[in-house]
Amino acid sequence: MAFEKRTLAAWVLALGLVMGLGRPAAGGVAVSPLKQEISLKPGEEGKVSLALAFNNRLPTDGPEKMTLAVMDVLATEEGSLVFGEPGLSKVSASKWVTLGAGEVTLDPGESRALECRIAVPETAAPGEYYAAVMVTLARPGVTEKGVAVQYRIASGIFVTVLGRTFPKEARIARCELIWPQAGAAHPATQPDAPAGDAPPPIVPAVQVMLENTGQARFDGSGKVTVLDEQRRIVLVSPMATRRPCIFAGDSRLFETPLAKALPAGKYTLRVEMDYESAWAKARQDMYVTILPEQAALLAQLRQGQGAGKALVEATPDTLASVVPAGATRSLAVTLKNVSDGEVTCTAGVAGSSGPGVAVRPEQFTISKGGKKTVEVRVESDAGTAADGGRLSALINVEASQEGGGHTELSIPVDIQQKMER
Amino acid sequence: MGRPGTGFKRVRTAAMLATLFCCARAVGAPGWQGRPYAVVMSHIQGVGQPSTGSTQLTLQHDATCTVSVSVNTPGDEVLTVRGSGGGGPTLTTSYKITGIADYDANWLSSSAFLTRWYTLNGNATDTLMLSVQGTGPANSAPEAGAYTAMIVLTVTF
Repeated sequence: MAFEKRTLAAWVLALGLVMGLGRPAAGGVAVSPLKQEISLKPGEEGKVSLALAFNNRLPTDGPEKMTLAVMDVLATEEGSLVFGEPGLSKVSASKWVTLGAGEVTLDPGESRALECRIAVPETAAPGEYYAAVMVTLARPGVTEKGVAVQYRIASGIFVTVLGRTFPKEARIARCELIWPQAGAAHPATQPDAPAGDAPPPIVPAVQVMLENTGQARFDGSGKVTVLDEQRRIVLVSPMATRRPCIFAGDSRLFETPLAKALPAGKYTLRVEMDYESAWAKARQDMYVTILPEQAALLAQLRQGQGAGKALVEATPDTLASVVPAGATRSLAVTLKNVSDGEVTCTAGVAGSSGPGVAVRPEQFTISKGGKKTVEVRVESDAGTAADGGRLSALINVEASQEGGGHTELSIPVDIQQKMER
Repeated sequence: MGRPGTGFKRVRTAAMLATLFCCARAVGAPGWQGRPYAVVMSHIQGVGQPSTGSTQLTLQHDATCTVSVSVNTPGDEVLTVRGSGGGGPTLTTSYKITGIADYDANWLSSSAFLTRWYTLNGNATDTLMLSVQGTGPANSAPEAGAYTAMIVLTVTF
């Protein structure tokens, strides 16, 4: 028994030493964690803890003083966080949080746990509420000429007031295709870059504003599928944002570049946003016409992005077939390596208007000058066929080569589902 | 063999010491490494010539975090000769942060800089290079004086 206890003690000490000494010696003020959650019923009290530490850099460093305050935390549509006066936001938990101290002074090497008490009012409606503890170093940089810098560290406190379950709810508040303005400079352009470095072009982009209409935060994601006039999928592109987490009541801007040379014509942009709901997604169709000059711009941008020389070629470059309801068809695409070395390929279904489309093999290599046949398996759905439906999909093949070469190939699939007589 | 329970006390003490040691070290992230900094500007050498300065800010973090820019009082971001009456002469002030993946390729106007936020990914120690540029009027010498500004950098989730 004593041996077991000693063994346990040795393990605990070893773990402590490994965890403690594994980190590099840190200097400066640290706050941990950066966010934490607590669930309470109306009228209930709880507490969370915040660890503050001052790891001095120099032996001569004196004590470090910091002030602490509870603030509202708000997110902008772009995702940046803004800290404001407590209690102004509809989903503020600031007024419920009481800090154990408003000021803390730490000696070099000292760390301290700060208790934050959270008292939810009886009248609080179920839902999520947010606050932040702002730790401000009380000694800002001082300069007689120049810019002084003040440091702050904000630790988020997310309070869930219990009472019922909170379904994730969202809607697409805005959806648009933005074309670059003539003469616009790319934000990554360096004006003092050496001559000859052509600035990367700005590409048209699909922007979607996703609004959290529920009472629970979620991580948003999504994609846009572009269909041509024949309802064939010609592009599938993921929507991106810098902060996927969307608080209750907030909206967030998602964007994806229209990085494909599309011919002039009418298109449908089908936006599908996932908001972590088990039941639904937010969807919106947008109808756009790409004018000849816009099509020329897309082609020009695509060339400028180094769409350049393909590593593989597909034969045929589109797949079309008539499949009886409930039947399965295998269609073949032959990929030929037209590069000067071996290429590694990854094939997959980038988008599909329905289930039942698969590609195999998904990963393979093709030697220089070699060919590989890929099977696209289509399983027709009887229900869809009854509507005289069509199944549209887009197969993407990513080809890469050792040394950095990388190209993408898209193969549209158009299936007419036919009812057997 | 000691008294019954002695072994348990030793284990408990060891566990507590180890936990305290871990906490004391583990809170090293996320945190600013070092004292608050100031960017000291160079002298303006001639009419239309900018004054520049830069400094390194080190941030250690054990998870993805963001750094946002703000001011305590509107106008603090502009290099100004701050007298007791306020409203002193100003320099056109630009900022940029480099040295990280989410860097500024261009100088940003002081107002654009206040809307900027930077994402620092994963578990790392990042060194942000904060650069400041102050430019006087194009056709006349700026008024003599000590031009100062103040910005707030907030690291958060």
